[in-house]
Amino acid sequence: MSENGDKLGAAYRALPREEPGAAIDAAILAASRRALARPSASRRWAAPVSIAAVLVLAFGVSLHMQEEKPGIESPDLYARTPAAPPPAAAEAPISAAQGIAPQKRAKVEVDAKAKVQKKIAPAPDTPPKPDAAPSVREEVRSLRDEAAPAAPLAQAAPAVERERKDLAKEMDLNRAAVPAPAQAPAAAALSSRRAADAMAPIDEATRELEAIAKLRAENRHEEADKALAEFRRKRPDYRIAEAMWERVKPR
Amino acid sequence: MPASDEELMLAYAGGDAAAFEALYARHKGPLFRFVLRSMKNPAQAEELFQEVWMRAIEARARYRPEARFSTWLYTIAHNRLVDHWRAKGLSLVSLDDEERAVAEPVAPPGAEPHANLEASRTAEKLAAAIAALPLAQREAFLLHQEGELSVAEIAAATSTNEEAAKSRLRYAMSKLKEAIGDE
Repeated sequence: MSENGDKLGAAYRALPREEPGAAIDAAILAASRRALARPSASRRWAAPVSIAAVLVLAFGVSLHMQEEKPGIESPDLYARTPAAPPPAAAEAPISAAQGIAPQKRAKVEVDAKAKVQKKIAPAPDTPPKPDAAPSVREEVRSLRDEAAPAAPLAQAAPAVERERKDLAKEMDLNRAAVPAPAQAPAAAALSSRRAADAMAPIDEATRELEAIAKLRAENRHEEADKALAEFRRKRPDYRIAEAMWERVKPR
Repeated sequence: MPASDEELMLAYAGGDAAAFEALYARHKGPLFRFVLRSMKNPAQAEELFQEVWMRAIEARARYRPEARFSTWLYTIAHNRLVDHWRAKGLSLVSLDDEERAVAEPVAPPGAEPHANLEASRTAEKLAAAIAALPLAQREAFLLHQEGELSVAEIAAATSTNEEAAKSRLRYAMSKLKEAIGDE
């Protein structure tokens, strides 16, 4: 730093060192403690967002299930297998992998078996291909394995494993659209926030400012004032451009 | 080794009230003087000072340590000041206006008695010169002196480019040096 700068700096530091009063200190520190006692806005919204996400996901899965052909077990299938897979045992590897709520296991299981069934049972008017026999044997073996109680996930038969992975991919696609419902509220809030951050926070702020500008244009100034105050509270470090400020500023 | 500002703010966002107290103790004086010397009315300055901290508290969950905490805090203060100036009919363009500076003088810092008469006179001249600076130059100078922000950080906090920030700071320092006879 130059000597000139030092002299100016020294002269500035010699000026009175004003400090806020004790009352102001107390008010701010009290507010900081109160804020911790009250959950933050993101945490307040975590539970409702999680519930909404569960409902949306459940609705989406239901719609998806309805689009699939019904996959009820066929007599032919059980004629080939020595023992019919007990539903409870068969649920274990798939539903454990999916992490699906209990009430959805039946639908997912039906869907998985439907897909397996499609591969095993050839079309009525097409003769089985010569190389289908080994794959059919494989599928039968996989179904027999499903009958084993509490089969660990690593030992799932390839076809069932493929189906599990396919369903997992579909679940992941749905999960990408909405926050994961199985997560704890704090984790759901975090993933919601990350998704929101990834979105374009500038666009979101612009949309809010546009809404305030619309209120001003409609002479709904009281609502606009409240909305602007809330905007400032949420985004204290956002710089409102001059042109936009002219449209949203208090009248 | 004491925790950094960024660590303290993240700790506070995580629920540690004592972290905020430490952060407040570090920054309350500089921020208060920044706000006080940027405004005309001390009562309004106190109110704005509190508002800045309230907004920082409310925004704790959104705080990201990508920049220094000081830059973030003074960005909030700058935005709040801009709102205040806009309410007075000042546009951002006029913040660099020399004539506006005369129309919106701030109360100069109170001069404390100095043992050295010369030092006392220098302090008075400097205080008056700071008060007479255009808003943007004064802000740049105070951010540099009180906030200890670099030119790049001043630019970030005031949503301008580095050239403009450097120019404002340079003009401010030049005028102040001239005022205290340090050219």
